[in-house]
Amino acid sequence: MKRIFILLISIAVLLSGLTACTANNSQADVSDISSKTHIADFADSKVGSVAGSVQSEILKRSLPDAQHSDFNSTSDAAMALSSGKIDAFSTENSVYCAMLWEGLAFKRVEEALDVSNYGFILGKGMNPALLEELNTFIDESKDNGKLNALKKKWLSSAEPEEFAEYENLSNANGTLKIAISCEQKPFAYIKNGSYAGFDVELLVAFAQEYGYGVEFIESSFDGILSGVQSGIYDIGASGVTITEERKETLDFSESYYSDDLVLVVNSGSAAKSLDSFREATLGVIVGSIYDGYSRELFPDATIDAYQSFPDLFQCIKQGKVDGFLLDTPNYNAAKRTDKNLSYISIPGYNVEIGYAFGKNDKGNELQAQMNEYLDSLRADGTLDAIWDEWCGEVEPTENIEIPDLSANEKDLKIALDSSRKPFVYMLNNEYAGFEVEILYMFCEKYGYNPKLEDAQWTAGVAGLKEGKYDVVSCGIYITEERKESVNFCDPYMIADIIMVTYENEESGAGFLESVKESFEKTFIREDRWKLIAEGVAVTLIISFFSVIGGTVFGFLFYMLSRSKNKFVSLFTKKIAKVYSVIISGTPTLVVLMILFYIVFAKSDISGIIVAIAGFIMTFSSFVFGQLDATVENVDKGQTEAAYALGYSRNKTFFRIVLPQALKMFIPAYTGEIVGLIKATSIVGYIAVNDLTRMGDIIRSNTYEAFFPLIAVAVIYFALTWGVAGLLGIAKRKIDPRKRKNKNILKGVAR
Amino acid sequence: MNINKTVNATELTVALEGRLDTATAPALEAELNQSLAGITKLVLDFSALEYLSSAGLRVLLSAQKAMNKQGEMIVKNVNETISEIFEVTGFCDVLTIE
Amino acid sequence: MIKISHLRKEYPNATPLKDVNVEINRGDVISIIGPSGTGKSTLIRCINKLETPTSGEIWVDGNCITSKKCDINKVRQKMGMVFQSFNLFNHMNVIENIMAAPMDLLGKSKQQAYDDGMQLLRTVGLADKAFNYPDELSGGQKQRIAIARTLAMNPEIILFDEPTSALDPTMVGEVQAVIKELANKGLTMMIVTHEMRFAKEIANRVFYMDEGGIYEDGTPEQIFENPQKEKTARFIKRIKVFENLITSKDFDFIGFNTSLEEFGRRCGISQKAIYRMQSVFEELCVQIILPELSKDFALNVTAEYSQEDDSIAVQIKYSGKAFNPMDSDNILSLKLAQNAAQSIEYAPCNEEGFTNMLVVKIK
Repeated sequence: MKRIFILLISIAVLLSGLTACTANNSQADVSDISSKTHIADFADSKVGSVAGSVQSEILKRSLPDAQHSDFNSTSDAAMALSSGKIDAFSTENSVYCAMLWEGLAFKRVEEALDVSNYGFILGKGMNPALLEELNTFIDESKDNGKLNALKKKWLSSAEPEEFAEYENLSNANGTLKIAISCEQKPFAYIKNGSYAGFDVELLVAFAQEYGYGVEFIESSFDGILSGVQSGIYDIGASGVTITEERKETLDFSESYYSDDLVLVVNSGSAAKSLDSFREATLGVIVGSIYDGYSRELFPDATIDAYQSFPDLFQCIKQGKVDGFLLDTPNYNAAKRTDKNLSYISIPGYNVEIGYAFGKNDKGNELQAQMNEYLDSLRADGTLDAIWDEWCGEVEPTENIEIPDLSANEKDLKIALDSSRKPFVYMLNNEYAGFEVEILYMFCEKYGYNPKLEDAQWTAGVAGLKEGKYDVVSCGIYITEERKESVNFCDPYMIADIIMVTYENEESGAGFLESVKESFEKTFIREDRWKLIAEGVAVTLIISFFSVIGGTVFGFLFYMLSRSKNKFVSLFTKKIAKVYSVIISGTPTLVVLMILFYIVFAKSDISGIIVAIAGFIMTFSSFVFGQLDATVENVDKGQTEAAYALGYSRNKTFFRIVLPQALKMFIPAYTGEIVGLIKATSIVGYIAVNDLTRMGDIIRSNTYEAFFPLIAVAVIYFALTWGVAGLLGIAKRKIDPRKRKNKNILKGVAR
Repeated sequence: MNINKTVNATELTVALEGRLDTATAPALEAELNQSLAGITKLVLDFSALEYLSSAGLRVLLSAQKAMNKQGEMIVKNVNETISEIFEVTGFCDVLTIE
Repeated sequence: MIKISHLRKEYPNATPLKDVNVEINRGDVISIIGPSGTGKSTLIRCINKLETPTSGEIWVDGNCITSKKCDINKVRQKMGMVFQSFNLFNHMNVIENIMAAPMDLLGKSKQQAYDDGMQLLRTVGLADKAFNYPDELSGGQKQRIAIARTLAMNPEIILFDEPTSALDPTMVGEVQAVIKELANKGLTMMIVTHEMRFAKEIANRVFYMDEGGIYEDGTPEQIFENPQKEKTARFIKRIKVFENLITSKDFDFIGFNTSLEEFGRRCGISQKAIYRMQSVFEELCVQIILPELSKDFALNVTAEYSQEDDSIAVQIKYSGKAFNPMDSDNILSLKLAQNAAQSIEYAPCNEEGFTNMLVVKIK
């Protein structure tokens, strides 16, 4: 009866949870404009752009059959979009972002029209000295971080609070006449009667450094171009795109900024502007750079920390967070499985991704080789091609063709974190992903024999230090802090950071179908059940040997404490007491980590052995204590009676005391074993792929949280239930009272 | 002292176990007061009674008087000592002893 | 057979045995009596080394068990011990308890051990309980089985450590009967006991333990009737005299009766006699005298057992106005008291605080 009850509860839990994941597998309505993701989708739409601008040309070239409208300014175009006169308009990404900060209910088409580079314009050949100074300044600003700082200030966040002063610049070397437009927020605009904006502030910084004063003159865009051309103005600015055509009549400074050209459309549902995240709830990964960035960009928002990207995706689906920062490759991989994901650009913020090597000679050599190799791949476009394969919109289905490099003499020991889609993950139960493919190609080129091993970042870095690994490949972000412990190659990619958002749309598929699909994704697809089976095997192996080892050691140590030799027995008891206090006061996870990262750091020992060692330590302490307690409990009078009959100490213990102690020992023993099986779920932290870690890996590859977790829980339950059942049978078998009389008196005639 | 009651229609059997003395007599008295309603035959089983004092005798007397009005009372299974007590005190004439 | 020489046992807080010297002969049945804490149990526990002597020597059948070379387990196999708390092995049934040591230590075959064991069980009258477990048995049954268990090893001497102290009075007799049987068979035994009558009947030799050793050692007649030394005499007397003072009408009647009963047992008088004693007390004191006393009173009851004519003299002294219970109207109680007593005599009393005295002789 009890078992049926438990079964019913389990089913109820399963069903209730599944409703959570059903809402997510929906189909987007293709006819809705707000979900068009490609430029080509707008082939016969009404589109607009700013008259005479470069992006206008590009737009017309890209969509020759669309209905084009010309506007005087971006804001006009925006108004037209809001009122529905046009379906979309083109503009620079940063301008679009600024609009989002304003609270306009827009979103952009993900595919970019083009990329434009901005430069300041000067009259052709009119002031080469000034041009040179400007270029030097721009170069230096790129190097010394001034440019990045300005970008961060102007191009990614809400309107800044402080603006550069320019009234009181010394004009020792003269005054520059600078033409700007006032409708190119965030590049140049008017605020409280002064000029402000990215371009403005950059130029003010330049003037300050080179001892110029500035005079800003407002003009229309066309007016800027012609005015500079004819020498009325010294410099022209406001996000002027560098084009070959313009170069014929104007001098351009070095590009100081690159921007995407995007198509902007109405967002359809509730306004998702970056502004609206000011006081929202944002998700971050504990201690990641996104943690820092989120607080920087949205100081008033509530920040909730989670453990991994799949967790963040789960939370945004459920509405636990309103958004979170992420890099585009990760976003693209997730988007493949859930069309409801959307994003808002945050220009000026990006991440560098690369491989980590040890800070030693071999590490330096590998770093140099990898940089060389990456350069070569970049040069012929292979890098981009492979990137698009793995980090684009389509889910890859074919595994990497692994070359046979066993003949190579030099080994390359690679630590991989296979829960980092799309950089490193498991596809059809083999390692796959952008970084993996590059690594195989690298090994082939430089003559290494790759040895791949599973380890997460922390374990990997520790391994690099001890020479256990040569490379760590986790799709990890390069940060100054991390550079202190490892050598990074040059980033193989600099990915944009975006704010991920979510639009919950009604589920199209039925409940049962969703369940079926989840089940199929978790177990069937790519034979993922094999991963689970592996995990179960590891969990069982660790549990089994830990229990056996712990029991043996605990028992032996206990017998030592019963030694006739007073010194030995006292000493053993004291050690056992101290040992048990330390062990019971230290979380098992910490014990394992100490073993893995400190005690066994230099050796090549597998994580499973370390795990077994750690659990033997804790389990033996329990066995000792429990034996002590149950033996104490057997009344001393029986021991005396045995002695009085002539039984020796040992005979008394094994014949009289232990059988009675065992009966009380078994229930606690069973409980502790069950606890141990569950406790093994932490071994993922020391690079062991047990059942829990496998569940995690599947979770991060499928972006499904529910089914993998529930499946893992059910399996643990089955394992512990099975073990407890077996031990219950054993208990009944060894209970002296349960013996049948005829068995007690076997071989005796009555 | 333990008092074990068994009721069979209108016949009540009370078996006493232990001592019936100054300390325990009140309990028997209370028990009988409660249980005699509607009883036509009261049987007192003394097979497990070890000791009887004057206090106990007084309770027996009042019970006998009560049962005289509603039926009969029988004392049975008395041991040697208690039989002697009944003799010496003349209770053998008052009670019906089997 | 056993020679004890200058045996001394010290504990951190006490030294129960200071200097014991004694020889025990084959066939001796020795009762060991004395007040609590005088080392009675300690003595026999030293003999089988359940306690380790602090100094001194003990020789058992030529083996010096106090020496380090001695294999005490082998020596113990020839000695048996019966404990106050029985100490049967709980995880084995009765017959297994008895078979265990012979099989494990003497190498007896299972069949042989079984047959011998069943025989022993029959001797103690519990053959039908062979397959029960200890916790299904009464105290008396457990103790008899414990005795059978020691007998299974064919010991030359059996040590009894207060064998009936933990038993219900109703079961004391069955165990004492078994022990008496063994004495009759000629087994050497040492019995620590508080049951004086039993101690007197069964033994050929009595140790009275006091002052850290065997204070007086003599035949039962000597010790119980004619104690030579002062403390022995006091002890013997004490167990023969009962005294209790009552000053409140709410005194503990049940407790008083229980003490009377214990006293009676100590003297070894029959259950009937004990009832008579109690009847005298209840009828005379509680039913007749007490109601007549005023609020502040004293009522003293003394009972003394006489060996010679096996009778008890009860003396009841009380304060208040002069009054002879025999004049009471409570005929019922008087009759019962007179039935229980041999004689009842009243006299005024001149003692401090008492005005009346009643002397009752009980058979």
